[in-house]
Amino acid sequence: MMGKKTSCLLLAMMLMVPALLPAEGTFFMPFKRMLILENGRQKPMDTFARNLLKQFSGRSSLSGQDASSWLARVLFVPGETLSDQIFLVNHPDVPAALGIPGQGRQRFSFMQINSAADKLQQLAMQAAQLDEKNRSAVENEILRLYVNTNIYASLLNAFGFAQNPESGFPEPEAAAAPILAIMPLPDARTEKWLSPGGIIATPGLHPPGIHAEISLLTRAAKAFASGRSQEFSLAIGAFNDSIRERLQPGRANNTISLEIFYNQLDPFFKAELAYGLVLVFLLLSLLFPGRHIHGLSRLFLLAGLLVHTFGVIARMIIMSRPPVTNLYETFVFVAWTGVLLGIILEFFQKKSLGVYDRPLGGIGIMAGSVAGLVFLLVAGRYSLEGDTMGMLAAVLDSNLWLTTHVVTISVGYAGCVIAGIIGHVYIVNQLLHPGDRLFRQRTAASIHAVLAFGLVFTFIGTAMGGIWADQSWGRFWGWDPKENGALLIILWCAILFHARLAKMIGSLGMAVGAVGSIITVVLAWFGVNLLGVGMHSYGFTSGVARWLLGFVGGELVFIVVALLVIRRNPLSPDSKKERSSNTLTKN
Amino acid sequence: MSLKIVRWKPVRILASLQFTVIGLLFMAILVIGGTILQAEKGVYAAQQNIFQSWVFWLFGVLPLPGMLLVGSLLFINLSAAVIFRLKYRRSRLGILLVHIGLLVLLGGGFISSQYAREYFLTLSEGESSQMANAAHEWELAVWTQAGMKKQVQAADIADLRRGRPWPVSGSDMEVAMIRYFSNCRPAASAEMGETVLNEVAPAADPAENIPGAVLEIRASQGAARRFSIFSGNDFPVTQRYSDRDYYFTVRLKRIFLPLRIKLLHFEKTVYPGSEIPKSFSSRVEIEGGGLRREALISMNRPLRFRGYTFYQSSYGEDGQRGANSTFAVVKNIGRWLPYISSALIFLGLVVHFIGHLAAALKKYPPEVRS
Repeated sequence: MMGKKTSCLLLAMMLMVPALLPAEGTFFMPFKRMLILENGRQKPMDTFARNLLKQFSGRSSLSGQDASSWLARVLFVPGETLSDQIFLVNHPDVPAALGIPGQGRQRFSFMQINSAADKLQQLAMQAAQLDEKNRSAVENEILRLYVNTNIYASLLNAFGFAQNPESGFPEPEAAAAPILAIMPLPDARTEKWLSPGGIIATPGLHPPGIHAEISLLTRAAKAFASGRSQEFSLAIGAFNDSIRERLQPGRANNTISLEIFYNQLDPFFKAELAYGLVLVFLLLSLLFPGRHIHGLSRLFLLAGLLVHTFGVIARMIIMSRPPVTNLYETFVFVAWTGVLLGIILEFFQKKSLGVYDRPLGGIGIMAGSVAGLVFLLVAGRYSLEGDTMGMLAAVLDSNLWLTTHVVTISVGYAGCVIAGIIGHVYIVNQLLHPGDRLFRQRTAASIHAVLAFGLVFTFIGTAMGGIWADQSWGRFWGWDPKENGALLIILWCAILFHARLAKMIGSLGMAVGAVGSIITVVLAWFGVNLLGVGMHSYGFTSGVARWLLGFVGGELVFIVVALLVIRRNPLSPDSKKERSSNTLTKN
Repeated sequence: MSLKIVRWKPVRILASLQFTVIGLLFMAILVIGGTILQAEKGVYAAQQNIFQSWVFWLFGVLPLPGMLLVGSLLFINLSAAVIFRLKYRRSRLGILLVHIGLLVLLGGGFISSQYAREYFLTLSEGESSQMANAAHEWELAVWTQAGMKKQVQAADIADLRRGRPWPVSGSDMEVAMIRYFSNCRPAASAEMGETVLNEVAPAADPAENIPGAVLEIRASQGAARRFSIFSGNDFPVTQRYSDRDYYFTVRLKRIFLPLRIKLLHFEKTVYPGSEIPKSFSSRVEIEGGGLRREALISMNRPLRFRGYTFYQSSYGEDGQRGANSTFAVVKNIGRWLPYISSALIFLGLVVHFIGHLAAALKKYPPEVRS
């Protein structure tokens, strides 16, 4: 039989393979590798295209066509893209306000929206004058649409100069598409980049090198328009070489290939798939108990973790920074830690439970895959807000305490979440199999251990955060909402442990408390961002508030109903005895 | 411990776990309430009403313990537990250390909340100063001028508000505060020279308040005289008394620093092609105690000098005079306590978990360990 490690590696490779095969033909590679400076970072055109298309349409590909080839069409054959349905409108009132047909959440083409351009501009100006807090979802959506269509319109003309039939240096055009900053100025010290149109329009920036680069672009544009892919590829490649020669060699260029590979692999989506399959296998194993399906679920969890780990590490290398620096990365990292914790737990449980003969045996696998899946889904949703690899504002950059405290707290969050998931298992087990006390005893031990783990890491992380705050602005503690959130998790866990020690609650109380700790973590983590105050707020994620309320409400209902049922349950032979020692009783 | 006092009921209650649980629950509720209040009314209101208060009134009628009270009760509970309840055994050493660390943390928090002071100092490039202003604590300053010589004295508004008259030295007059407005607007004067102040609701950010007061000058001879004063005044209020002019003004409280600090150059950098700030830094020259040197204060890299710490707080770019830079100046005698407590707690956790691991290894042979 093949070793488990080998098969798991093979599986992970299989998840990676699609990225290794060039889908569009290699002639697109040079275009993907083109450097662009956006928001302070040199990135490959591939990333820029994906982010842009995601920002427009909520997807990173357009009907099977990858983002780079979409962008190339927009730039080089703009006329052919006008009826692509790329502008996602999330609110049905927006098309109504613009007077264009459409209902619900749907995508429009530039042509459709442009038919109401004046109206859009007028509405957007109105919305822009409102205070940010007073804008409704409709106004935000109108502004977003306005900004997006304007970016698109400017890109349509970005290579207008290439249409010029004459050879030689083109005349300046009106539209410079400043967003397409692909050409560094000849004086490298300024660190300033311009779009080709911007370069042409600026007098005094035309040394021979620049001249050559512009004509390479012109050649590429013409080649693309007439379908000569080989020539297009060569011209862009020559352009790239010329740019790289002008930049300080060695910097940033090394990570370009890695970043393109990362983009193509989409590791977090693959990991999501793997974790989803794990859950499917676990459900199947409830129906068909046996070792094999369990083995499969373990295999997929490990494979998912491998791909997930690759993604985390690739991001660290690309950005040369620690794993958690923004809200998006907290989701990814907590998911990763959750899976890891689940696997560690499974390793210990396998020894203590001998689990394969009973349903819901692989608790560690289950908890890990649930945490991994849910938080990666949240991360995916969040990534629609824009570039997830943005640069960091001054106060958040490069400080040992800052970076370590965020990572440590994220590990603590993951611990509390995993404990909470196992808490669900405990409660459900008591509902379904009231007599199965041995199982619950062991589950309770896991809850205790994982929750203690969560408490310890959250505490250490919070203390490190305090040290950072003291070093950075002279106070260890300032009652900032995010600090309060972390404190709340610590207090909640401390309450549970002390209450358990004082016998104010039993194992069931501890399980319920662990479920409560998920609520606390979720509130502390992004609930406080929704309050919109404090330096830690990362900005409002639309729609999150509703989900959050729904989740918290759902958990509370679950707890109340479960407790009511358990208290009334006459089936359990030892329910009375259990009640005296195990239920939530306050002295 | 088999001392009698341990079994004495009040001590047992004070040291009990139940006390801890209830105290922590209260603390959690205060944290939630304070955070929500902060979102609605601002940091200052939350600090004043909940985080820095002994008792606060819910809806103005129901008295509830503030964070200081809850923290103090937990401090007593924890002290009692450390003294009377926790077991002084080697196996419990880690837990003991963690709880002693928590005592230091609570104590340090209390000391900081009572004694930490924060001031601000804004300098333009080339400018130097030996003074810093409080963020929103005020003082009444009065001065007389004789030729080039200006004699200034100041009294804390907080002291004046307690009702004690302030004797102005070098004269036989006293200044008493009749009324105080924490935030007010001057209205059109009823008579010439008479300012009427209208009280308005305090701002969410106390730095935006314009405090004002009705003062009374009392002297051994002559009738008492009343006048209004507020901080937004561009000119001091002049009062003539026994042939001398006294100038009064309400201003942010000032302190003298043990050094003179001069801003040489402020620099802000952004990431290329963006408006995202990459760094802020101020090159300064400090002079004090016979020393003179240059220093760099930047984000996350403060300057420490004789108990004061200078942080890069904000900046301004004003066209004519070049950039200016604002430093937060913090003095906190309890500054090291959180560090000590964090270290104790960390050590305690390490000891505790290593102990657990060792016990587990001893108890079970590797195969059955869980």
